[in-house]
Amino acid sequence: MKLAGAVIGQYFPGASVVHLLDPRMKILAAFAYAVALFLVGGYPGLILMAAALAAAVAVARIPARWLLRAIKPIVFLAGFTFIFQLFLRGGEVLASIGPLDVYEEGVRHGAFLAARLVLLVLSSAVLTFTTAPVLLTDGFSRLLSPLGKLRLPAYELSLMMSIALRFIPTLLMELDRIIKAQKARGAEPGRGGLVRRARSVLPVMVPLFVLSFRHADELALAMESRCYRGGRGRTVRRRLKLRARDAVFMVIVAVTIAAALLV
Amino acid sequence: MQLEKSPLPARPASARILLSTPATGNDPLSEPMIIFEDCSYRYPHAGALRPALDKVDLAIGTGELVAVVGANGSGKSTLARMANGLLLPDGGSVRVKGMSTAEPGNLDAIRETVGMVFQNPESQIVANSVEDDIAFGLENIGLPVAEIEERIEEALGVFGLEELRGREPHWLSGGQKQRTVLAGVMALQPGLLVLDEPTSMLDPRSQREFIDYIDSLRRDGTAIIYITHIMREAATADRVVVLSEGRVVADAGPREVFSDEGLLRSAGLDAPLPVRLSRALDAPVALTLEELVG
Ligand SMILES: Nc1ncnc2c1ncn2[C@@H]1O[C@H](COP(=O)(O)OP(=O)(O)OP(=O)(O)O)[C@@H](O)[C@H]1O
Ligand SMILES: [Mg+2]
Repeated sequence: MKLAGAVIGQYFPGASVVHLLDPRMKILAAFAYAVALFLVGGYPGLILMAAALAAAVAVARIPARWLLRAIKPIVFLAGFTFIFQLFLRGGEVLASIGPLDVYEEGVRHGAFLAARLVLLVLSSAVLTFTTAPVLLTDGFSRLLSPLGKLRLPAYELSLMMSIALRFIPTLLMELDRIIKAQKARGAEPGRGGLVRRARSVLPVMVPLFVLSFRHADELALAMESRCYRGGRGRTVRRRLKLRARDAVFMVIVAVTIAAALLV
Repeated sequence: MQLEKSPLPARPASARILLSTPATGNDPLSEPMIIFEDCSYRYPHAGALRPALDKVDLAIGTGELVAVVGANGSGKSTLARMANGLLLPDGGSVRVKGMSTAEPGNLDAIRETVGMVFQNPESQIVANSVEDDIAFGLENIGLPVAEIEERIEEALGVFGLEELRGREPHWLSGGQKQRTVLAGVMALQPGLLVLDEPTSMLDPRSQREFIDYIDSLRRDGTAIIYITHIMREAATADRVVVLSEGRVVADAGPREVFSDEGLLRSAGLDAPLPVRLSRALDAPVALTLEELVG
């Protein structure tokens, strides 16, 4: 259980075009990409989607190591998805495991679902890898701001997101520290059978929850002391400006998705 | 991660953060910046425990630096949270510039007047970079963008954070986090500054520089409540308030407070080193080593 190595919400600093794109456009593109993944009907479309993401990764020069770490938490889920689909009937029987037959159609479908899941996770990882948390927050808050007109708490929502981004690394570091402390006392969190594993994770999770509640409590006091009163009357400090490259990017995204859905 | 090399620079004479309050000095006739009157507080759910604060009377004027000392659990942090209405007294009152904290309509103005720095810097950083965190309070009070940028630059300069402006909070050292928090609070130009052990994570040199900075704020008319466990720091204050089990057991000049051995012992405190040395040498009470030698 190597959690400090996790990369949720982490930023991979760089100066590539992908890094420089307007955060709002990147968020919209990631969202459209996720939706399209679920609408794509078959392999040709999926391969096109994968190629588009690979291009973004290459341009942003994100190391393979980071990508592997990003999908590590879902390897099991993807594996299960694949195995469950194996026995779907259709096409030729490829192999027989005892009384169960593995059909060609099952393999095909299982691989499709697993690949879709991996692409989904990778695409959101590429968004956070290439967008500084500050800009990600700004982007979300700008995109949500029309909600304010509907009297929904747009600023509060984006602030929540920002605080989550702010504290995830802190909590991961604290989690790492707790695990080390437990190990020093002979515990082996995350090892052994399912029951033992669940039991050994408990002493790690409880202190973490306590810590995060304490953070939340103190943070609320600090925010109030610094004149936090919600979004009303608040200055918007940074204005985001769309540039030509953002327009080009959105055209590429639209064309890719349209092509993936039509092939 | 190593501590930032650049020290807290002496503040430039032109710095506007520091000229927030007109220097009215210690005018005994003017309304004090903050008054605690017969102020008591008991935490809910604390059962039959004694109150965290017990009939505290305290007044602090502009340009006054008051150190608050006391053992763990003596009520120092509770007192701090009373100062800007985060906690409201069960009995008695707290007034900032004449405004009672019990009146909800006053809280916005009170929070703009009182700057608060809590013990743990980690949970006081809201934003995802040093610069954005300094901006947080300024944005909240709706200042124009140009003024916000100006104040950010100034705060970055005063606290030696220029090179760390874009740094994410989890890559900051403890001392750097503490400076970020201080910068964010000072950028709001508070008239009363409440500091709860603000130097606990600073290296000795930064600690000394911070004390000098605090001293210059006081000269510009900021009222300061300085909670500390470091008696050497308390000795530089105008007044030292000793808390013990929620009660003010002393409120006098540092020389007077630190000369009273019995008082300190009953409050669970030690006198600063120079005082103990002068006592051992049977010399008159000295608050600093220079004084002892000179
Ligand atoms: N949230 C809380 N709920 C219940 N009791 C509390 C709470 N916070 C503090 N107390 C109690 O109130 C008393 C005063 O606590 P306070 O935090 O003000 O002490 P302190 O002087 O700041 O101590 P320290 O030097 O450790 O920071 C203590 O007895 C403490 O146990
Ligand atoms: Mg305290």
